Amino acid sequence: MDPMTTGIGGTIMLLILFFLGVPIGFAMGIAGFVGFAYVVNLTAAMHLVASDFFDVFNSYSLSVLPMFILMGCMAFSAGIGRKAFDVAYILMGRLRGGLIVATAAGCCIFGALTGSSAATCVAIGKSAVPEMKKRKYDPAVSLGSLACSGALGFMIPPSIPLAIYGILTEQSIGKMFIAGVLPAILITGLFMLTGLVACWIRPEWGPSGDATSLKQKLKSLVGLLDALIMFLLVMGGLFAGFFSPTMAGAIGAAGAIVIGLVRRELTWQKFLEGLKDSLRLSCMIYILIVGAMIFGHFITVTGVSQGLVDFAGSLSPLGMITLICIIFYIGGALLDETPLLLILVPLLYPLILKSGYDPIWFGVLITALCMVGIVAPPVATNFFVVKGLAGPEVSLITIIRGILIFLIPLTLGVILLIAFPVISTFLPSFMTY
Amino acid sequence: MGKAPLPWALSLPVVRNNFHNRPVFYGGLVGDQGLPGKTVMNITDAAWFGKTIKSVATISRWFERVGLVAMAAMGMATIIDVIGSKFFNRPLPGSTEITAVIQVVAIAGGLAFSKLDGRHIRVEFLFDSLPERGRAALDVFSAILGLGLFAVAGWMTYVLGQNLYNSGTGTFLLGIPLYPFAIWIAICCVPMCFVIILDLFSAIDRMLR
Repeated sequence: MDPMTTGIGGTIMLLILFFLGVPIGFAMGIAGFVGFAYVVNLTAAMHLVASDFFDVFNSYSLSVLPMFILMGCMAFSAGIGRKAFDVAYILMGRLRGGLIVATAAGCCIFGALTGSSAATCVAIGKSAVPEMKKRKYDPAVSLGSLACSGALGFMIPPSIPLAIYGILTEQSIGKMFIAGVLPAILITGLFMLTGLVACWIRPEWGPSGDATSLKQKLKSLVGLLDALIMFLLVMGGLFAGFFSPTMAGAIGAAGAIVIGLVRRELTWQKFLEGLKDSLRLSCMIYILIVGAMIFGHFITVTGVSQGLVDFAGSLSPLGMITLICIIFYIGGALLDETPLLLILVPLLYPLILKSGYDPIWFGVLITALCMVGIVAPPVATNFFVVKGLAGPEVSLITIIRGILIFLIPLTLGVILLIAFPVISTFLPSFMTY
Repeated sequence: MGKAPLPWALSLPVVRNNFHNRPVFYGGLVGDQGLPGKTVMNITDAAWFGKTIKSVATISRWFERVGLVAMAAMGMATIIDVIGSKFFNRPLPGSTEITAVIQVVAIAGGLAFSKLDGRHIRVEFLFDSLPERGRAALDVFSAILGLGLFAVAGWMTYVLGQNLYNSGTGTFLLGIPLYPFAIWIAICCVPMCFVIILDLFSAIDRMLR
């Protein structure tokens, strides 16, 4: 069997292992190990496993991940998400569909402190869902908006997928983070607009809330101070080149701990839980990365990447991007987003370079595409998080109906990112390092 | 003529153990519904299994504690470096190397408990549509593959550690020897393998019920 056929066979084996329910990190490691042993030899494959484990665990560039995960967990424990929603609700709750707008804004603000879409969804949803029930919002629209807005945590820096993309493609993580800012604001705006338009057309979907005075509105802004300080500290430091990404993550985590202590939200128990959660989540991601490394080495020796580059040569640039979007839409619905990135980025990145596309733009684009996967069942983190928050009285179909409404602005956002790459590349162009 | 036999498991008190929060049926010998008249000793009912779960969970928790301390130390080292370099013009020497090696301690230390905690994601929509025995059979398959991977990883990182020791390889700036960290990964693969072995027994047990 020639190496190329072995590579394709190995990829099919990987997919079979996925669908047999083997943990994704293990499946990638096993498929890569067996394939590498077949193409090269068993001894080399065994040494490959050891060196990939050691290299990944001992990689300084990856240390950015646990630091930002820690920052997110500490921000969650410090109750910053709840405050973000409260402020947004006081400011916009009076509007028809105001809670949907407040949810999107709250997710955007909390997403700026965490790289996890599920954490964003839970942090905002814990306040938003009871309020939406109380105000008799349509469950489909309200929960659909929460699931999709929660996915903003994936895009708004500090974003774990953008960091992983930066590591995989050797792009500056700082630039990747900054590149995600405008697209995230754009998508947040589209979510807000969709909520307002939907409730304008069908007023019963989102009744208007109580009016608040200007004094109340101004006073509420104090609640944003914590999030604003942390965002400016972390992103400002990165943008100015003052911190490395790992430093920014550690400073952000320390900032969240200090805020939690000052506000008396963070207890020793919550701190320990946050630390444990960060470590367990980091372990899961590192095993995924180790698996992807082993599988990636196997794919490299088979020459499948080169075969893909040759195939892409026969496609028009727009045709290639369309194909990539379709792969991510389908793949995102079937796989979790981090393994999807770990599998597809090493395969697709050479095509992007050969086609002359900006790698930073591509990273932002596929992160936006991953947002679709976060909410599109059957494998959709936020879909199940929202179901858990809504309780048994809300059916899965109801949530899917709401998600479908908010997939429209998300898809529009993706189209805008493709049509106007400057949305992603404008801010990083100011960074000189 | 007697009544159709009641599935023994249903008549036994059900509790949830710490191991993946799966229901465990206590009661010693349990009638095997698949093979009428034959009795088998259920693995998860045995006292040794309960004790082993407890021991493995305790050991994994201790490894995780080491990992937690290391994770906090990673953050501290980075913050000390930031404060030193940005405010006193005295960065922590070799901070990137220190962070990287502490990261090995943290991540490897947390491996077993993250598995015990069920953190490793998998594609579940096809898996969930199968009957219980089918799911258990696939769990057996997954556990065997996972065990193979981590056994190889543990063994070969130990070999890597020996090679690093023999060659005297250390980090570039501070010369921190790397072999203890490779061996630490190898050691951490041991509780991980035990967690997977327990997973395997538990899945076999569910398959046989």
